[in-house]
Amino acid sequence: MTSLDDDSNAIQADALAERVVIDNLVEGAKHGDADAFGVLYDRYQPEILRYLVNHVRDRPTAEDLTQQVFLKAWQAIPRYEQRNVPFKSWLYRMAHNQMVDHFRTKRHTVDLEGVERAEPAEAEALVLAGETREILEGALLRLSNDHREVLVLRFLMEKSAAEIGAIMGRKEVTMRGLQLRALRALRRELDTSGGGLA
Amino acid sequence: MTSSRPPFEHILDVCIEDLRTGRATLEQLLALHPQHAAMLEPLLRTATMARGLAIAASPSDAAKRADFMRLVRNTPQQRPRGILTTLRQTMNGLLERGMVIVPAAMAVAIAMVIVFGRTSSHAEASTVTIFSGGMEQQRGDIWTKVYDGEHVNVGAHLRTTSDGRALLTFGDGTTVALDPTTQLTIEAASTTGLREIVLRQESGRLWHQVAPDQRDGSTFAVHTPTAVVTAHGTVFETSIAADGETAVNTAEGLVEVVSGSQRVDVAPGESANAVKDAVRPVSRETRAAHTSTLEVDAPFAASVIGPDGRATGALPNGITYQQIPGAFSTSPTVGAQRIELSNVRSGEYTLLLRRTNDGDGNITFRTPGGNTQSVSLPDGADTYQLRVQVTATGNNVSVIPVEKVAAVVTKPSEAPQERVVVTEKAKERAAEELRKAVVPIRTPEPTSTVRPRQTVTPRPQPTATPTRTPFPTRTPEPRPTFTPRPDPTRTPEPERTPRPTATPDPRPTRTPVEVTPTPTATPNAPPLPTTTPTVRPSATPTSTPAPSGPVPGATATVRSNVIASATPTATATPKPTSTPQPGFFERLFPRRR
Repeated sequence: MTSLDDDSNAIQADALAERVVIDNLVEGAKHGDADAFGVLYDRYQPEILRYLVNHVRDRPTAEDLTQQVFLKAWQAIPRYEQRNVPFKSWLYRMAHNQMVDHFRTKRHTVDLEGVERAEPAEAEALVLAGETREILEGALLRLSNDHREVLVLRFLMEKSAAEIGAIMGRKEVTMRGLQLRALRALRRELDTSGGGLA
Repeated sequence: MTSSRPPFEHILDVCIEDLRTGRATLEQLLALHPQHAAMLEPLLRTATMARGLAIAASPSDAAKRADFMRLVRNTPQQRPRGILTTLRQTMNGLLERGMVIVPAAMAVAIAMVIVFGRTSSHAEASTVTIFSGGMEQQRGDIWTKVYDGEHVNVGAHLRTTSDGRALLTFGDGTTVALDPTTQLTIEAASTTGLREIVLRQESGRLWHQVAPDQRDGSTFAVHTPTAVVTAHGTVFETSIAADGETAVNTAEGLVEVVSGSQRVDVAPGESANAVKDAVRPVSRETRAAHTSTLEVDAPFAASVIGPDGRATGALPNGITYQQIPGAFSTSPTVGAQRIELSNVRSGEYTLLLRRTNDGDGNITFRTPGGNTQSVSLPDGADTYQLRVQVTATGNNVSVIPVEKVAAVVTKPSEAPQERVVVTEKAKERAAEELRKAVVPIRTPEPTSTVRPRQTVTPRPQPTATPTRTPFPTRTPEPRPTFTPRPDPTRTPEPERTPRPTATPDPRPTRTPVEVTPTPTATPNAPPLPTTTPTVRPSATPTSTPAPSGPVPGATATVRSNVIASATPTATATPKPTSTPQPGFFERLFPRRR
């Protein structure tokens, strides 16, 4: 038995167990149970917050957006149909749209290319030095949408291929292939622009 | 024989996960997969580097969680669309009122469900409708976007953008239209028992349609920097100038304006200006001189749809909606419908006319200068539409038809779109208005005139197909202001086969009608009372005045799009006030649809 099988089984078991719990909580929230929704909030708020922090690069803004995401989720959850999309994916889509709206409507968005770059002091764990980070972000920018999305979810959000597949609405095996192609594409971009940074 | 060797992308994924969790180092992984080491190494190094961009975020603290949960408990949910449930509840209530209105009630109920999709059940919240631009709500120090259809609660601090036009619909059907750059706070929004709606307007212009509620203790109040404005069942405007002066214009009912120790009752057509501790009335004649009027002397319910999608008018079921600031419509159930336009935006509007009974008639346009034009509406078609040009020059507003004839609307999909947030109380009032209708209202034909939102596939509803069969238990009474001309070619038929809604009307799509311009300044304007507002000391600033004049039936909020303008979806989509250059991540992750 390989570790791959163990991981896969563990993921499936965890997913199944979580699904049962989440289904019950979601059902309660759909019927107006704020406490059930509070449990869902506790379970997913850190993840959604991290997702948004990694996008907007600003903690207070991310916290505000996260609250809006969950407030909208509370309002809309009676219409949510579990058979259509997993609850977490549903939350991620709301967070994604909230984030896009934020960048679209706010002028003082964090422009990673320009003068309003997030200050490293505010970012809690910016590891890379400025120049390297610019090269890496530039390379990301030149990737296709799918490649960028999977890389951010995988490496900035540290999601598994299975989780990314659920979020993006694709099969896990498809996500692994997409991840491979995305890494190769990023590598080519870095080789081209970064002089062999990687 | 099949190979059990996992594909490379699987191995890569596992290696990435091992690296992430610290189960193995890069060197260990390369040693574990020597046959793939050459391919794995650069990819894993790239992956490690990409991970360096990550920002770790600690969870929010308990206090923020508690604040959020309080917000959740005070935020109503959006109930799923229960079409059958809504229809059944509506019909149960209406059936008790007698068989006379059953056909109309059925059509109204079905139309409400079809067109509006949902009913509002948020007694303590208000539903936001965005017509153009955007609306924002302050949360902490940040202004966040409010979405079309969203519910906002008591305490909400709202503002419209520089091109934002929005509407709030409260649980009792009361609506408040916001013009651009308007800011207010909802201080109370209770409609479960006695109504208590209190707004604090800080800037901009509001156009209120207050649902009738004569009960003692019922409150609708607008607090401005210089006045407290209260009403019970009225249509009026509050606008705040840059210096804080509050202007109040009443279109219907009676509005009380209090500033300091002074109080003014502002009757229909009157205005008042309030500064700190003083209220100054404006004569009625001044306002009336700027108003254009559209009179519907025909068995039709009229609706004027503005260039920004807002509408003022009535549906055949008696529901009136007053969304265009400065425009006011009476209900066709209480007499010849009249729409007044004063201080509205210039542009091309669409006049939509929906048949309420057999017969023909005229629409008469009266400009402030006294000029009139008439357009005939012959018997036959169920729905007409007419483009009209509204021109605001200074305070003067003139309305003239652009076309000489009213076009027959044969396809519902081509009719302007109207969206109404209908509350349960508004539905009840509409049914009551129908029951008490002075003017005989035949079967409303909502499906032929009001179409669902374009995202909903229109489907002919057999039960909603308009019938032309007269009501068996209701004898049409002569209208007080309009007597249908006898049509020798249209003798009453005991039965008429309903036309399928999808079948094109075999009649000509355009019926010749007369346009009778009257260039001379014929004094056809309605007589104006000579009373002027009176100023008197107020011992009880919050006392409630008794409304005068007829009050509208149900209130409703209508959003519609103009046919002649761009696509409906384009006009209905809220737009940001500006289009900032897309940032890095915006280009990185364009919004998924």
